Amino acid sequence: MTSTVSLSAPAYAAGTVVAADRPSPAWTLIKLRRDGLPPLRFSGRLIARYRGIAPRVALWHDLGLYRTAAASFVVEIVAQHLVPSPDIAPLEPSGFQVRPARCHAALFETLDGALTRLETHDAACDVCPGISAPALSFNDPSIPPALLVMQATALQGFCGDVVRRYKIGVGAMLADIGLRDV
Amino acid sequence: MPTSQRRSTVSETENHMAATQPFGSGPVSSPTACVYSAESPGHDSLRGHPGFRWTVLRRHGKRPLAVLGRALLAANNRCAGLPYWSEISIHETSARRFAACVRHAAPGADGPAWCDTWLCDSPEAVRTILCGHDPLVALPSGIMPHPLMPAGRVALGADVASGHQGAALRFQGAWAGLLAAILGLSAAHRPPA
Repeated sequence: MTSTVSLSAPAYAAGTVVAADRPSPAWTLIKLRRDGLPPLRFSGRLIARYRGIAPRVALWHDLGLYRTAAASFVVEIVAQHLVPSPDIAPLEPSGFQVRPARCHAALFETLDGALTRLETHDAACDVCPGISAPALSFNDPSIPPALLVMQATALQGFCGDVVRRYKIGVGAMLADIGLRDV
Repeated sequence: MPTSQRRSTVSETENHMAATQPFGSGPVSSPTACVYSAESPGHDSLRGHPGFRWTVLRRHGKRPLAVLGRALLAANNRCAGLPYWSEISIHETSARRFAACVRHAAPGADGPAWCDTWLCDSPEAVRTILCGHDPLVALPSGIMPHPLMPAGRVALGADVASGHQGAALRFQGAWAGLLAAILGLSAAHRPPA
């Protein structure tokens, strides 16, 4: 059930920017998953994408920026995390499987609105203690206070890393778009 | 072969994460993902001088900064044995302002793992920004247990943290050395104003 994979020294996480070819002449029908809402469907094309997966990282963000045929923009923010694989499913090397933890997608009239959404997203909100992040068992009376403090410290560090990696991703993806015509 | 017959799906090409992307031509008129440094026409005294061109400077968690400028200096402390290295580059814009770019990266990585840029009005502001920068913000936290680890195992993370702290101290020291090389020995230890 448990793995010691993340007990090794934390990796210097660096994701990958995946840039879309430009110009993409035709529009494709795109469907993006959203938490608590029906999927966002639109006709559009991908402008840029960032994949935050990195070795020894348990929760990361995948980002996408799209242009719609109606000249709007769509921002996609997906928090991915590792869950233990049931048994024979396609495995991560460590026996974990990638699952989306939180899915956000929203449509914006202007590019500025879309970029502001990316810049202001609180990545710490995508962390769920005990499921996609270290547990904080403050309801368990058998846990000694000292251990509770360590759990809280671990959770705090985990959140800090998630937010730092998210910001790295936003910076990398937007710099990759650069002066390109979107 | 008509170009309209080209494949309609979006093909993805891997792109290395460069911190700076120079562009020879000017910025396009349509909206871009960049913030432009405010260059008022009256103070644009260096426009047209050799070496000035549009450069996109990456920032942390924000859209990049596009400046019309030239690189003044770049220095790094990349050497064997360091777990992470840092790089400082300073650009002069056509309006005689300065863009200070700081990168932190791990050896062997494709691009910078952490990168930020600040636009400053004077060399003194550059010095203040650089001296006030804490390189440790770029490092991952030392304790990273897996989310599904039982509570008792978290304690093991402390061992990792103590080893991690040594690396962090060396990283911090190397950063101070880089600052001293650029700004002078006393500057590296001067608290930000």
